[in-house]
Amino acid sequence: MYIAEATESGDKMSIAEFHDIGKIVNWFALGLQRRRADGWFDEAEPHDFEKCKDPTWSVNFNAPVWESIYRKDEEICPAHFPDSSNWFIVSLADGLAASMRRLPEEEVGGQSIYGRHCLWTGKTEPDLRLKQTEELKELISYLNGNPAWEATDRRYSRILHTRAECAVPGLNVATLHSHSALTGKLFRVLQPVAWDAARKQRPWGAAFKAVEHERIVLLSLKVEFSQQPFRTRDLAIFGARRQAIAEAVSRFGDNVLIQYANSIVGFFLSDTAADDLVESFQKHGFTVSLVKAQQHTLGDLNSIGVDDALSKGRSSALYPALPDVIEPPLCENCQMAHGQHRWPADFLASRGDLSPAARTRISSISWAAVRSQDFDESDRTRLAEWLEEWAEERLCLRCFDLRRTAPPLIRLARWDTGKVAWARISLDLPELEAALRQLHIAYIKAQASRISDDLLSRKLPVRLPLLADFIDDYKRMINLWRERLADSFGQENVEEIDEGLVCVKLTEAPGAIRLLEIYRDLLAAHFPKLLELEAAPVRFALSISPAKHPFFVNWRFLESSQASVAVQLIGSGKAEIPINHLDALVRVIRQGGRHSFHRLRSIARTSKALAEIMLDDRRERDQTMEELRSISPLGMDFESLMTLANLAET
Amino acid sequence: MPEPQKTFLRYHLRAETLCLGERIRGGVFRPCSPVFRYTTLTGSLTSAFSASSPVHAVARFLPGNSDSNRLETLTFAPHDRSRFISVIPLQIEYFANADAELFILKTDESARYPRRLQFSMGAMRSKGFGRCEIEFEKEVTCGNPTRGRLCVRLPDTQDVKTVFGVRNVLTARYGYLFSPTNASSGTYVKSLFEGSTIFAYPIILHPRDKSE
Repeated sequence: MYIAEATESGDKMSIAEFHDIGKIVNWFALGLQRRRADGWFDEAEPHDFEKCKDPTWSVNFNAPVWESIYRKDEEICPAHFPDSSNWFIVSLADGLAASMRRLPEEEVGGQSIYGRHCLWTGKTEPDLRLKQTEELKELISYLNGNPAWEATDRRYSRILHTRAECAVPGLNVATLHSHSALTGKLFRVLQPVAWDAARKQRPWGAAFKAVEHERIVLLSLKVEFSQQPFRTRDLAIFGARRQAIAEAVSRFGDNVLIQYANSIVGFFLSDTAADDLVESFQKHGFTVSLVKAQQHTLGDLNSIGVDDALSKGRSSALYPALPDVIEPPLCENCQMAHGQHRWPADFLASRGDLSPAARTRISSISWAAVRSQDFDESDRTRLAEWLEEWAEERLCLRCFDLRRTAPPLIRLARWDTGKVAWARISLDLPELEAALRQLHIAYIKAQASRISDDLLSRKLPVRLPLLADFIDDYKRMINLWRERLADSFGQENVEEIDEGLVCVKLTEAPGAIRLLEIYRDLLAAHFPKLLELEAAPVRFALSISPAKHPFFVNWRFLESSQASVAVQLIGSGKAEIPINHLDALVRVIRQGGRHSFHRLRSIARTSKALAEIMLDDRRERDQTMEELRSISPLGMDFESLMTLANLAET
Repeated sequence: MPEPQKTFLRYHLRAETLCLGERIRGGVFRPCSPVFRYTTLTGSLTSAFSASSPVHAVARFLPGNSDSNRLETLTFAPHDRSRFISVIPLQIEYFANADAELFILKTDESARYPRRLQFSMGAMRSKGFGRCEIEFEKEVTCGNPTRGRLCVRLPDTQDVKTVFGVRNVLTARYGYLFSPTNASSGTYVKSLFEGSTIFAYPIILHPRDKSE
C-alpha cells in the first residue's frame, strides 16, 4: 500500500477521488472544447463536466460523486447539496494534493500535453482519453450509480495511469491516478476541521480563511530496530516490523500518504495523532527516526511544499523507554535490555512435547551442564538438535518472544556450506527529491515554450503525486527483482527477508556478478534516467559471506552503505561503484585480469603513483588494462578493483 | 557567557593489530567495533598510566592511505587446555595497522603523563592483539561545541558529557557500554553511539563534518 488502500471499504467516503474524473475525457475530440485556427484552445478544458449540465446528458446531480465534480459550480452544489461542505473540502484536498506548492501554470506554457511524461524513463505516455460520445455517456451513467473508487480505478486504470494530472507542458509529470488517490486521503483527513467552515461560509475564499490557520503536522519516519540478528531465527524481526507497519497503515490509513519499505510520509491535524502513529511502533520495541516539519498551517502549504517543509524539519530518533543502567546479563540480541531469559533452556522448559522430568531438569541447571544421557530415549531424540547446536544465550523478553515465535526461514536454515549473497535495494527519500528536481527542471527546459525568468533560479518543488508515482514504479521493480532472482538462481536458492532484502545461495561462479547484472538491467529498464545522474536515490548493496556467517555483519554493511552500488566480500574487502559506470566495471571484471589487479593493488599499497604509472605502461599491451585506465579515475581505487575481481570468481 | 575552554592532549596512536571486540556472542565470528569506545580507552589508559583517577580519553581513526585501518579477519583455533582438545575455530575481525589520534583531557595529573607509552588495549590481548604505542603531539584547546556526527561511543552520563562538551543531542543513537564497578563486576550504562547528531567538541565528531 503506498497511495490508496486497495480495499473495497463501503464505509469509507470516496467521493473526492472523482473530482478530476472528467480529465479522462478528450473534450476537444467530442466537439465540446473549442480550438482556434492557430491550434490553441479557445476555452479551458471543461473537465468539470460544465458542458454536460443539459438534461440530454442525463447527469443525476443527486448522486454524491457529482458534488465532488461540480464543486466549483455555484448553482448545482447549493441546489443539490445544500447542507454539505464536501465541495469545499474536496477543493481544499485537491489543492493540497496537486499543489503542495504547485508551480503556477502561468510560469510555463505551450500546447497541452495530456500524456504523462515519466521523468525517470524519459518517456511520454500516449493520450488514451475517451474520444467517443458513447464512452462519455457510459461514464456519466456509471458515475450516476455512485461507484466505489477502487472499482473505478480498475475500470479506467489504463487512462488514469497515462493521463497527466496537469497538461501544462513541463508540468505533465504526475499521473491522474496518484493525484486522485491522494486527494481522497486528504479529503478524509481534513473533514473534521473543514466541515463547519464551509457550512457557515461561502464562497471559497471566505471558507478558506476560516481554516487556513488550522495546524497541520507533516512527518517522515523510518521504523528501525536495535536487534543485531546473528541467528536465522532472529531475522523474524523483519517480519515483526512489516507487521507493525501494516497495522499502523491500516489504523492510520488516510494519514499515511506514502509508504514504502520501512518509511512513511504522514499528514496529521494534530501532534497527538502524529504521536499515536510513532508510539504504535515504539510500543512494539522499534526505534523511529523521525523528521517532523516545523509548525505549519493549512495556509502555509500554498507557499511551501512537502519536500521543503520536511527538509527544514527537525530530526530525532525516538527509542522505547531505555533505563540509564542495566544490570548484567545484557540481552545478547538487542543489547538494549536486561537478558532475563535463557535460550534455549527457557524455551525448551515450556515445550509440551517433553516430559515433565526433562523440563524440570532443563530449567533447574545451567545449559552447559545439560547432557543427553540425563534424558530418556524419547526426550533425547527431541532434544538432539538443541544439544548439538545451541550454546546458552541470554535474551530480553521481547527478543525471547521473537525467537520463540519466529516462523522458520526454511531455505536459509538449510544452507550450511558454501557462500550466500545478501542483497538489498533501498530508496533514499531526500536523494530522490533531489534527483526528481533535477530531472524535472531538465524536462521543463526541453518542453515548455514559455518559461518565466525566475522559475529556473528557484528550487523546484517535488510534489507528492510525483513521489507516489515513483514509489509505485520502485515497488514494481522490487517485485520483478524477486522474480528475476528466482528465475536465474532457482526459487529454492532465494530467501526473501524483507521488502528489497534477499539472501541468495551462490551455487556456481560467477553468481555474484549475475546479481549485479540483474540489478543493472532492472535499473536500466525502469529508471534509465537515474543512470545519468550523480545522485543515487535507489541504492544497491551486496554482501557476500559464508553461509553461516553472522547475518548482522552483512546487515551492518547493507544498512549503512550510502553508495549507489556497494559491494562487500567478507574476507576480501569492499568496493563502491558509481552507478553511471556500473556497466563498464562489470565488463572489465568479467574479462578477468585478477593477477594484474592483485599486482597493482600491492604496488598501490606502497605507492599509488607507481601503480598509476604501471597501469599506463601496460595499457597498450593489455586490453583489460586499457579499459581499467578508462574507469580508474571514476572513484575506483585498486583495493576496490581487487574486491570486484574476487567477486567475479564468487 | 562564553563556554569554558578545555584542553586535551593529542597523542598519535598506532597498533599493528587492534581488536575492539563488539559485544556479540553465540557465534564463531567475533566482529570488531568500527569506532573507539570511551570505556575501553579509559580502562586501558587508567591502568597504563597507573592514574589515581579515571583518564578521560577518546580516539578516532585517521583517514590515511589504503594500508592503514584495514578491517581484516583472522581465523584462530583456541585450545581447551583442560580437555586437551581444539575447539571450533574462531574468526576474529580486527584493524590492521591502526592509525588514530587519541585525546586525553588535560589535568594536573595527565599533564605529567609520559610523552611516549606502550600499552595493550581491546580484545585478544593474550594473543598479541592490541599492543598500542602512543606519542604526544600537541595540546588541543576546545571552546564552543559544534554540530556534527559522533564518531566514538560515549556514556550518556553528565560527567562524561561535560568533559567532551556534549550539549544538545539532536538525534541520538543509543546503545549500552559496560562499565566496571569493581574488578569482577559491572553494569551496562546507556551510551551515545557513533552516528548520533550532537553539539560537542570537534574531537569526538566525524572529521569530515567540521574541520577543527
